[in-house]
Amino acid sequence: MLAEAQLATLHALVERSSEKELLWMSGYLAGLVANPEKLNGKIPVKEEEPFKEKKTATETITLLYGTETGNAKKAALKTATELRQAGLKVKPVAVEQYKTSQLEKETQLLVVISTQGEGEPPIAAKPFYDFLHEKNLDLNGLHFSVLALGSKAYPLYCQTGIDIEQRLLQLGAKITVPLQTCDEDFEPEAMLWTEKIMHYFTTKNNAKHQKLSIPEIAISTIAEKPGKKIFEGIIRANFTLNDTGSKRHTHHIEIESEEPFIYETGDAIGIVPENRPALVKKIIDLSGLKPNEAIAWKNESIPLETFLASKVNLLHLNQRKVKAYAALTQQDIPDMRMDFYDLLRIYPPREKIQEALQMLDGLTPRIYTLSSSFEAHGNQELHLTVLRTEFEKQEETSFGLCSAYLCEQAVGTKFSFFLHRQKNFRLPANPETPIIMIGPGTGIAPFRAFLSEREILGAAGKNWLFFGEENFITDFYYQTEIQNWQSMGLLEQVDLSFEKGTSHTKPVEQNILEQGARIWERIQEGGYVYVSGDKEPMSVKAEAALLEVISLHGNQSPDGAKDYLKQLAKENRYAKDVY
Amino acid sequence: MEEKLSPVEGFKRKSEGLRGNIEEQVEKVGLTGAVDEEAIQLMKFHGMYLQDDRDRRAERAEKKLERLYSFMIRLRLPGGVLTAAQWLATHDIAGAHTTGVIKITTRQTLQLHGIIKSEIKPTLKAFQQAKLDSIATCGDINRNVAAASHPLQSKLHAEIHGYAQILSEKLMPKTRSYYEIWLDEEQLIDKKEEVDPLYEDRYLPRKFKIGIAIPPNNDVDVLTNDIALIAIEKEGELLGFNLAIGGGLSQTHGNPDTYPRLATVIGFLPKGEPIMKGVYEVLTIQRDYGNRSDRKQARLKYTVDKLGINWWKEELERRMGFPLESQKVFEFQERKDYYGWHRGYNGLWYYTIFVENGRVTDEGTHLLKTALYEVAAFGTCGFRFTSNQNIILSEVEEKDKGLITTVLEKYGVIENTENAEPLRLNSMACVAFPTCPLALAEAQRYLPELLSKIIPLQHKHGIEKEDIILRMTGCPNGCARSVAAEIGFVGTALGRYNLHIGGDRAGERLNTKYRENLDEAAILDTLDGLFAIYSKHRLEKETFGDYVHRGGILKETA
Repeated sequence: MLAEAQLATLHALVERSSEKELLWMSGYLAGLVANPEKLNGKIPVKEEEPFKEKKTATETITLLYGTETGNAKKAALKTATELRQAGLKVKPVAVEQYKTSQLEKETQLLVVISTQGEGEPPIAAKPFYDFLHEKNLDLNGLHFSVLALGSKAYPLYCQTGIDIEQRLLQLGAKITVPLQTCDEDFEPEAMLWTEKIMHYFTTKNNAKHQKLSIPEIAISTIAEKPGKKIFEGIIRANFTLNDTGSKRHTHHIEIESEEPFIYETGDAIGIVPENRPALVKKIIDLSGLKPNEAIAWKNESIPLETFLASKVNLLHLNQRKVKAYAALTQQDIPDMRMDFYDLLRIYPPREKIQEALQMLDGLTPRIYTLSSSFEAHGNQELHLTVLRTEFEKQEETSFGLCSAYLCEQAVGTKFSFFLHRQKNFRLPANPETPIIMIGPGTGIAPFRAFLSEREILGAAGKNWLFFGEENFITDFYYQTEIQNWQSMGLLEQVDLSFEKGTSHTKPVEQNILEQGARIWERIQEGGYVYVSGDKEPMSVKAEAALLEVISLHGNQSPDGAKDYLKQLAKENRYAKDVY
Repeated sequence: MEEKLSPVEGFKRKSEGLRGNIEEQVEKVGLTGAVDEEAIQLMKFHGMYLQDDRDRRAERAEKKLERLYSFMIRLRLPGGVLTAAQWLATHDIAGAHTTGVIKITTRQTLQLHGIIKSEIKPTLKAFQQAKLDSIATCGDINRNVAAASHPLQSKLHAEIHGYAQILSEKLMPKTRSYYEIWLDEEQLIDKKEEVDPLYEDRYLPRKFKIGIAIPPNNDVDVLTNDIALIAIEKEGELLGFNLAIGGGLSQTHGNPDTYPRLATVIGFLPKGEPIMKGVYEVLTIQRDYGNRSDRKQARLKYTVDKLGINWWKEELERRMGFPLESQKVFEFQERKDYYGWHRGYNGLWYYTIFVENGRVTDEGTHLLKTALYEVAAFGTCGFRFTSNQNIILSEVEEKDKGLITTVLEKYGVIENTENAEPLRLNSMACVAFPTCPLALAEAQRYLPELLSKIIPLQHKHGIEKEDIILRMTGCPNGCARSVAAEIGFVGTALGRYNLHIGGDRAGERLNTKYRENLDEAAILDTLDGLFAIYSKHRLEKETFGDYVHRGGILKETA
């Protein structure tokens, strides 16, 4: 895109700059693009304090829809698309998936809801409807408008929409655009309503925009590196994304951080797992020591119970450890991996218990890429997408232990974690740059974050997702979100690879090969390519397929293709998050 | 005045012989297990409905998964007849691609549920191997033709079933799209080869049903069809049929312009060419005059009432080119199945199995599905389905009867049939939850347990031997014909039903809504009261439906 000389200047500048400076520049340039009139004028550049709190140029409009036949959803997504095209931040949410605890925090709400039978809400919307009518909420800060779908064939026409408007008014909320009812042929009225909404926001925002001097951009991430600062959070949701009947157990976990957690979309968090209390108790019983017996560990003195629970690995000790234990206790122990409990039980350490404890390895943290977006989900809500592995059978002990530990955390449990930056795994600074995301299985995690981010920011770049799992029916993670992103035009293409439940069962790499010409086209447009998920065999096969695509469509020798991909990686335009 | 056509009309007209976008919607690896609205409407004509498991909606939504979509496929079985080999095939297909339950419908055919999008083609191919298809079993077209199911009752039976078969074929669409899309038949280049003088490119304005009855049994509930043919015989020979038009039960809660209606007899036509011509032209008139802008006003019954019986007779005579004869005398007495072993006039044996709500499956010690599979494997009987959702094992020779009895006994089928109470034997429920998208309340999953609470009330009032016809539907569309029952329940919301009473036993009078939105306690309480009055004040042999109709009870309706 840039002329060679320009590109050279840019590269030179980039090479001389620190990470912090680069981040600032990326934001600065994005701001210039958003306000082109500043390009020729002198721009007052001042060193700003890093943002602790997130600020955005326009507020987010939450668009709730409650549907029985799908019409209300259709109308809502149409509205969302229109509003987004007008540059507004809009987040459509199915009412059954909406966190009602958020309602008092909302400032702009749109509700699209249908009425069933005898004036009742759709079945899925009943909990929300009841919540609204039963709770005494303070909605003084809320502005809203309702689009009510119904059928004139029924006596209580659009009653649910009317009820909701009445109730929101009672709770102190203010109407932006008056209730719009529509009959079975809903489209004309829904369009009319959307236009009124658009008019309301554009007049409102124009007044606001004039006050802005320099565009406020996402420079929040210049915040001090938290390093290994430990954060505390509470588990707010924890459920399997797989439907019953699936062989997989992939959990969606939502954590509420107690203090603002500043990260960039694409980052991960580190988690130190804990051993199960039952196992800790069994080992304490076998050891003959008291639970509060002080254990010396890394210049600290720790009670035995805490030590066993959260400091050392007790599972599946490697052969080296087992050998060391055999030497320590002077017993003949076969050369195999073994759990610490079994060692103690079968080959009692007698008076050597203290030394045996000291010999254990520390628990290693496990890194999980966040599936939430800083921009879309805010600075206190973190999401993870975790495949629970059978840790007894797992080679990588901490892996299995940690996923099991995470997946067993009940809602309401306190939980600690730290930020793990993944600075090479970032959305392009330019919101118009196309991206290709290859993320089967839990590899979807950062891409859900990317898409949420691009949605909320109204980024215009083309987004393309490759996803796959075992069974289309039970294992299509975030299916409804992905469907909405596609119907709103955020996702230009999705290529799926399921082994079961569809008539086409092509593996990911084959999809990549078949779409080669188009992938090459996107790369030529300056596109970014990401691979996320299992290192083997997925990422290896995906990379081999990408190399073939580059070689075929870019007329490169196999080595040339490798160099090309390396160059992309150097520019952060080819990034992997694999494990 | 030409009103705006309903969207379905647009889909039909641009579908090029019911092809439309079906292939693309079914074949492509989309993000959804569903298909779009156009494909939904067109696939109905190929015999399948898009449904979803409504029990699973909330849980799947929380998991961010879409609804659990699947398809229901309904077979075309004119008169409800299947060979033993075809039953074996259906059993295997149900096992491989569906929920496993084989459902006998209230119009003598079979339907399978839970077929995911990618399994449709394999399912239809497997059916084709067994010479079965699902063409035109749903959609705005003539659907499965129902006919009196009891071969033992009349010498006319075989001849009548011949008419069901011929009508079904004559009124099928001419398009080859079913074979192209589902069975990979080579595509027609020139679609002109399949010009359809009956359906043209518009098909009918709405669904269309034909039934044929042989008096005095009205087991097919013939008057609930758009066209009812009532066989008229003289000394054991078929003369022809009384032709009745405009039956149909569906209505919409809260829409007073919709109503159930029984067919009106408009005359008699001799057998052979005249009756075939008559039926055909009723369809062409409905094609030309039916309402195509409001689908809730599109059934033949509304066209009949809009234009009047006299207009209809004249127009029909004009199109046929010969006059209708005046209707012949007939009498319906009952609508029942004859359970157990019976010997037909031809000397062959028939065993009618009671299948509660038509669900063929294995439950507890009643292993109906297993039993039928074993019986079918002998190849010594045919299978017939009744409009009361039961099975007749038919045309059994004396020598083969013993072995079939042994199998039926071994799997508890005979016990289940013999021990069922009269009320249960005369009851029906539609599918409703969890798969039917229209259901407002439970039906087939709930009726068995409700009956277990109603039957003690019958005992309390000494009326447990009465063959009272009781039916339940989960919505007002009437698949299980609840408004043509002596006691009818029409679902309004989960756990709530309108109670209708006063239909007659033979199916010639609809019932009347008596109470609205009753829960179970109120249902039982109301029936307790009604049974008490009936048992005390009824005339000799007076049915429950006739008594409440005569006795002034319906004056205090809801």
